[in-house]
Amino acid sequence: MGRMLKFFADVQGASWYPITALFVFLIFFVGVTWYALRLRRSDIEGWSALPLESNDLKSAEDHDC
Amino acid sequence: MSQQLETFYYDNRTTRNFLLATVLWGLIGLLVGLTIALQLVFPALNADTSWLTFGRLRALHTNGAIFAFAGNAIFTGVYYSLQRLLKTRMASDLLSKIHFWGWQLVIVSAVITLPLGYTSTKEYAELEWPIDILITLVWVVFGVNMIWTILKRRERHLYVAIWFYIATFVTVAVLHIFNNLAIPVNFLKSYSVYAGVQDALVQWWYGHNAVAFFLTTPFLGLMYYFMPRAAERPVYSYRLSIIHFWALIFIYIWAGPHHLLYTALPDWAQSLGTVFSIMLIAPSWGGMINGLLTLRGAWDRVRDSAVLKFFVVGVSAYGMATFEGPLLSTKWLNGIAHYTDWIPAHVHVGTLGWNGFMTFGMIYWLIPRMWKNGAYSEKMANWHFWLGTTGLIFWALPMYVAGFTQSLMWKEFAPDGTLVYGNFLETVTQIVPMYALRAFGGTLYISGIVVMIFNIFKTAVKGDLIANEEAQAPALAAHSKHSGEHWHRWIERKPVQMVIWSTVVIAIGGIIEIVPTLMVKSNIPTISTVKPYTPLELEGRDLYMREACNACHSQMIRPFASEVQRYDPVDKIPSQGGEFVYDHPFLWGSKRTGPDLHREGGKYPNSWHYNHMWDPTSMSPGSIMPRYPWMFSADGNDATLDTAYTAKKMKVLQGLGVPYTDDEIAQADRLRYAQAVAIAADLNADPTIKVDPNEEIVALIAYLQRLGTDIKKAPKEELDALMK
Repeated sequence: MGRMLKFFADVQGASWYPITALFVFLIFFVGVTWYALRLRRSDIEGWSALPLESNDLKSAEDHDC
Repeated sequence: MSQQLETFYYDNRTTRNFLLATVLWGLIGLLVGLTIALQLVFPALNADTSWLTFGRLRALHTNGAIFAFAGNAIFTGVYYSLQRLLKTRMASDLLSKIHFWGWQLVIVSAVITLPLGYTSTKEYAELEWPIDILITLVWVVFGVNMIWTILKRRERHLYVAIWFYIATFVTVAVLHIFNNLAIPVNFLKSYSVYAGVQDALVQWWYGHNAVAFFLTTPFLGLMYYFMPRAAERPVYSYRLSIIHFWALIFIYIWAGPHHLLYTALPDWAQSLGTVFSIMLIAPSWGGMINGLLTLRGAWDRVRDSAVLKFFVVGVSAYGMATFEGPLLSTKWLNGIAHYTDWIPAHVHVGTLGWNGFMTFGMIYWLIPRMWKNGAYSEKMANWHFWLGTTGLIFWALPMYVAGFTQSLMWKEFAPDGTLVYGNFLETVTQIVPMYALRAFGGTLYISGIVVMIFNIFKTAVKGDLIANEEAQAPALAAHSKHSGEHWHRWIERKPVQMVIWSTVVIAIGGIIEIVPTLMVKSNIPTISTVKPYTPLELEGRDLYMREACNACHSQMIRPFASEVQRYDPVDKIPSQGGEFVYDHPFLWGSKRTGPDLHREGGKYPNSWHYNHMWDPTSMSPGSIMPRYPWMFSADGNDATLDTAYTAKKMKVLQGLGVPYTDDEIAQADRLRYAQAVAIAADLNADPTIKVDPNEEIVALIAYLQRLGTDIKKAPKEELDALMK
């Protein structure tokens, strides 16, 4: 953490402006991660199977070469 | 409770059309690339023909590869996957047709106008304003068709691939409109509304995000659909896909200024670009990891499946390029790599590896499914894979070597403080063998595409296209937001809200970066002696743009000892933002195949430029720059400068804030001719030269002799203040 802060402190021209931008992203990122981690496993499994549940799967396999 | 199934038909004809357009334009676009690659080894290959010359064809190659090849590939995948993920046919066959033919019309317009020299010179946005408007209309048709399809879907949840498609649609629309804002002079000539530093920032905000939202997000969408299909297992982590989607579209938009490190761009904007570029590695690798781990438990099938082989190398190339990109965004590495062949190497690992291989994998997965009883050959697909992979290696590795070699040569000082390679040409001739190897790699890669075209041809001729593929699904039951439901679940179901939120997320970065540069005057210190171009110089600048001299020559001397020593050895002044305030558009360039020209003014006599443009090797033996005989009235060629629009051009620029007086505009032609006569008289003093003041070459020389000279007239105290 200390190294990371030093890196940003050493970036030439860095001031409150980019640092604020960074925090805007950090808040956004934490929010999205928090949301993703709270999703129900059953929902996740259903959504991630969507491409595989397409109706053309069977017919496609029928004329696979 | 069982629901009644509805029968409907997927439209495969539009997918087929885009697929065929992908391979056709892919072959043409890459052949153009091979042609210009060979011209760097054998300059005479342009046959002294304007429309076959490197500068003009380079834009055709980049636009062809990005918008014709990758663009049609995106639409192939979107039209196939969107219907199946939403369990519905595309909303409108008519809009699908307009979209397809409209996009091909854009490409044909580019194929005609770019070699003829009609260009705005802004990289990957070179097309002139009427074509830009056509692109906007066709893009809107695509968006309407997609969102309308989403609205009439039979599947509640919008799968993650569709989020990427929506983000692509929204962001490309925003970028395209803002970067191409220009005021027309005539039907095929316009000037960017932005100038100098601001134009550069807007351009690279666009340019970087053309990579992000045309070559990355839509292909990630394709990856999230076609990799699970090919591997026959769901994506590794759907949670990761949510996090990396939002993080990617949020961060990408901030990273554009890394294309402008060490330039006249304000330091704070450069720093912002660097910080966000480094952060970009996390969401990028989130996508790569998610793609590769989707193959968990199926790695043994990679050995036998050409489709999976293409996907594995494609996603790995994405991982390599997105690891290298953030590193190149650090100032220390950027100082070495920028303007060298390292950058094309980086770009081509992305385009040939990621975009090309994902496209090929998708096509090989699609063709046996779209054509019944075809003669698809897995063996030929494997041949294509090995030709493509070998070609990619032969393309990229020599360019890494060339980039590193040339950069070190540019920077090498002798103990006495002089440059060891003071003649730029020495650093070029050193790497010509690498250019030859690159052309060999390109030939291998294109050979693979030829094999693929033969495979598709055999499949399509022998098989029957399933133009309308029958499918069944229950209708979507009505659903409304219930209390306590999470906001993201609500957004996921509502495509219009998804569009709005995607726009908000990508707008934050753009606004924070660009608005202060446009609004805060102190960001670009003005220089009292910098004046607008004379009418003749303005015409000369337009010729410089027509020939795309900026494709090989930068106009941006970075504040390195080696650069000021090479390009401004007397005064040692790096380029300043205030020098470009009247440059609509900016012409900083992004690659130095030839030397920087920002301090070219006064460096050589007029006759040197005259002879150099007629035959570069006469002034620089061994030069790989092409000849420009069409700018000379000789051997029956008429190179009379077109002055019909000189006053109109000045009027347009006046409207954009360039301080031309009405009197100057009224006398534009007289002023132009007076300066041309003086230059022609100087040239004609050389007994070997016979030139008319109205020849194009005179205007070009006027512009070259003006470059970077205004600042030299500034008072010492003003210069000292600038250089602090």
